[in-house]
Amino acid sequence: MMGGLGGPGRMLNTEVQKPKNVLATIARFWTYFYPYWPAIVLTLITITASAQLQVTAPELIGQAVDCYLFPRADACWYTTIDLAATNADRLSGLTGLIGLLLVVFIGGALLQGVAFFSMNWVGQRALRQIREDVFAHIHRLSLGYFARNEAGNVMSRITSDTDTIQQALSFALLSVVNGILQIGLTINAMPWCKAICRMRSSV
Amino acid sequence: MQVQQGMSRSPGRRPTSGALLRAIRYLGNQRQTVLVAYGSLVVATLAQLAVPQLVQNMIDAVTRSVVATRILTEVPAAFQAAAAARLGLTIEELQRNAAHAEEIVINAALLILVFAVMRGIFSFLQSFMAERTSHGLAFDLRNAIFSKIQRMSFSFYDRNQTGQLMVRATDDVERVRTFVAQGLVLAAQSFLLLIGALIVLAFTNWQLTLVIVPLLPLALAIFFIFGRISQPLFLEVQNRLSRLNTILQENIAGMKVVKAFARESYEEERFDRAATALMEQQIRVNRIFAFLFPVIFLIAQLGQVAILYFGGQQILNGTLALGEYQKFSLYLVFVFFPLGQLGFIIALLAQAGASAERIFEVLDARSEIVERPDAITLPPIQGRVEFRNVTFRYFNSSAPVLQNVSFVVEPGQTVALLGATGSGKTSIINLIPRFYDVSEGAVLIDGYDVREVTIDSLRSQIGIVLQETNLFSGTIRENIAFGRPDASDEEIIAAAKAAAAHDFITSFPDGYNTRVGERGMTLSGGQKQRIAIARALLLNPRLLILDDSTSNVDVATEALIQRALDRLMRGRTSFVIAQRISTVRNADLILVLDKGRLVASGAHAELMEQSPIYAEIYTSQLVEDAPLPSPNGQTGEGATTL
Repeated sequence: MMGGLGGPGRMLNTEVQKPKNVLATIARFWTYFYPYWPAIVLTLITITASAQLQVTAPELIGQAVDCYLFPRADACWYTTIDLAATNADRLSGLTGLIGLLLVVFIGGALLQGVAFFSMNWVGQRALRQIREDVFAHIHRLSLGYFARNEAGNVMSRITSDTDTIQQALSFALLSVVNGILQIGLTINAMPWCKAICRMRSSV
Repeated sequence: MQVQQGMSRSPGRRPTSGALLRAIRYLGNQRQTVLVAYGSLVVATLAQLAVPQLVQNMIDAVTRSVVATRILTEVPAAFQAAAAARLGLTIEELQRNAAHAEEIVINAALLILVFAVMRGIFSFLQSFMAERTSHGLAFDLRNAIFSKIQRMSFSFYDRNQTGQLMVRATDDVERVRTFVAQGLVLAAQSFLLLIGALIVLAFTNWQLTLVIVPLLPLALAIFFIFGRISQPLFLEVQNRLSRLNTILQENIAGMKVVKAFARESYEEERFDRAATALMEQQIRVNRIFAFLFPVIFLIAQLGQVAILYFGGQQILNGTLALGEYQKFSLYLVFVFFPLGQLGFIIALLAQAGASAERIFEVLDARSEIVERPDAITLPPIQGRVEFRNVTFRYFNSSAPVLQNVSFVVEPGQTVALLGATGSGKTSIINLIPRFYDVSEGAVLIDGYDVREVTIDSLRSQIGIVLQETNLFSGTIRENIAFGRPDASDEEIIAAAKAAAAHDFITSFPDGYNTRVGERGMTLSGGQKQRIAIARALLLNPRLLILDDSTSNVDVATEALIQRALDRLMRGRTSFVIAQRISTVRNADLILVLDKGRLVASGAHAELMEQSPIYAEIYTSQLVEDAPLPSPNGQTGEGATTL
């Protein structure tokens, strides 16, 4: 579980603020998450799906305007515009669209809940393992280590530093992934991209 | 839950935001910064609210100039005035609109830029100042906790685990700080934005505004319900974190014992159980928020859907124009954005509420040793000590550890305390500096009851040297001058010389500036003991409490320490937990204790004749003095001594 020869001992001995080798740190970090890969896959699937739904929603709202409120044949793809429709017809069509929107919103909420929970479920388990490993390692250190390092410093690694990791895992990571996905999907959904992207793919 | 016994928390009390409000009141120490932070917040939020209106103005300006230009160029001159009149304008205004079109658009764009920059500056100012105040608040809270802990009686420490107290002073304070830096600001900003946007919306289209108003009580209900639900859960998280920390602290402090008894795997199991308990509680909390966050977003989205439906109805009926609908939609974001933040605010608030409660449990804990409001300053003492019918029991036990003990010690006398483990020697020593209060009877110094004088004036006149010496992180000089930080170098060196510590101190490369304590030079037990003797000599107290034993030292060092102790006791009233034959022989008064009772007292010769229990202790338990070192015999001195 500890990975590498240096072990957390090296981690504890030095006072560096930034990991010397980010990739190596991430790789070691990953060993704590790896056992829970099914839950991580679940998180990724739910968060991608929820981001997709969050991008779909504004598009559907746009369709409400383009198809029913101020019909424009060139922009409406949700339905075919019937010029002879009465206000009552259009209102019932709008209601149907709103029903779909509700499904999208509720589905998105469910997916978000699952993503948040599964991410935390994994994060908390990894965190417990990190704490336990550091604690076990402390016992393997020689007494000389404790003469050189202040007790408070050693303690804050197990409580406070692991806590910082937890905060990063539970909120920050999820928001960043979700944000990136949304930006990507939004750009993809924009009209100009549709045109340019289509051009690119045809070349 | 051991910790709560010591603190003034009534069982089963419902969580309240009272503690958090009290914590926030600490912001009063930095009113100006708070004022700047929240003033900036108001300005930044107003600037944010103004932007959609400014965009609207810009669009209007563009539209007006386009219309004016078309009228002036395409409509025949004769009909221009009539066309202008239909727009409610005069021909001059029309001409002005057309001629200054570019200027108006640029001005409108510049105004937007000005507002954006203003918002940026004030947002920065607001976050910076809010962070600053939060750190000031954390500083004040930590200082309050620290000074409170310093003032607590020994019995508080008998009942509260060190690890628990540490979490309160560090982690719990950090939670409150995070709330003040982020949650509180977010809440104020959201509230302002929400109210401002609602006002604009009501003026734009009050019928549509009414559609979203029912969401507000719903949001408020969620806020209170989930705050109520999650705060106790967060409290339990902090409790479990404290338990984890206690195990950790015990292990680090007692590392030698754990290693010596090969208890590593047992301790690891204990820690694993605590870590699992903490994890389970965290997941329990996350389950709540995994539900709450999406639900709050969903509520905001339902508002959006409702507006689409009712707004669509108005549009289809021709009572709402697209432009107005768009403006409405823009301001709607300002209503739903704060609502979406609600989950985050609840999380921060509940967490901070739980932590504030734990912080005030410490701050409100009553020390059993309290100074009377009318306590007097103890004048410089002569050193007469009297125990008058003293009975003492620890807080939760009915069996007394001292029972009806009485004796009088005259100034300058040496008192040797003798007795088996648990006979009450330590209790007598703890009662003199008022580390504990007697249960019955009284302890008097120079005729003053120790409970009638100020604690400071009492303790500063008593020197204490125990076998186990605590050195603090710092230099040797600082450790010797611990009781008198203003002492001069000469005084410190003189004290060190008298304590037979000068030679080993100067043998270090840094001499008196050698760093000791954690992360510093490791001193041997004998060296630490001599630093403590120097500390007491520097204080020059009239009343002395000490332990004449030496352990873990070689014979030559032992002799040095014993001579230093003898020098220390000379001319002072001294209470000695005696291990040495020479101490009891030289003592003016020997107190023999057995199971909390004073069974014999007097001088050596008289007790040898009268008290069989004394004779027994004297022959079986006491040790002879170590021989004095030979003239060249500074061997065994210095860092090689274990």
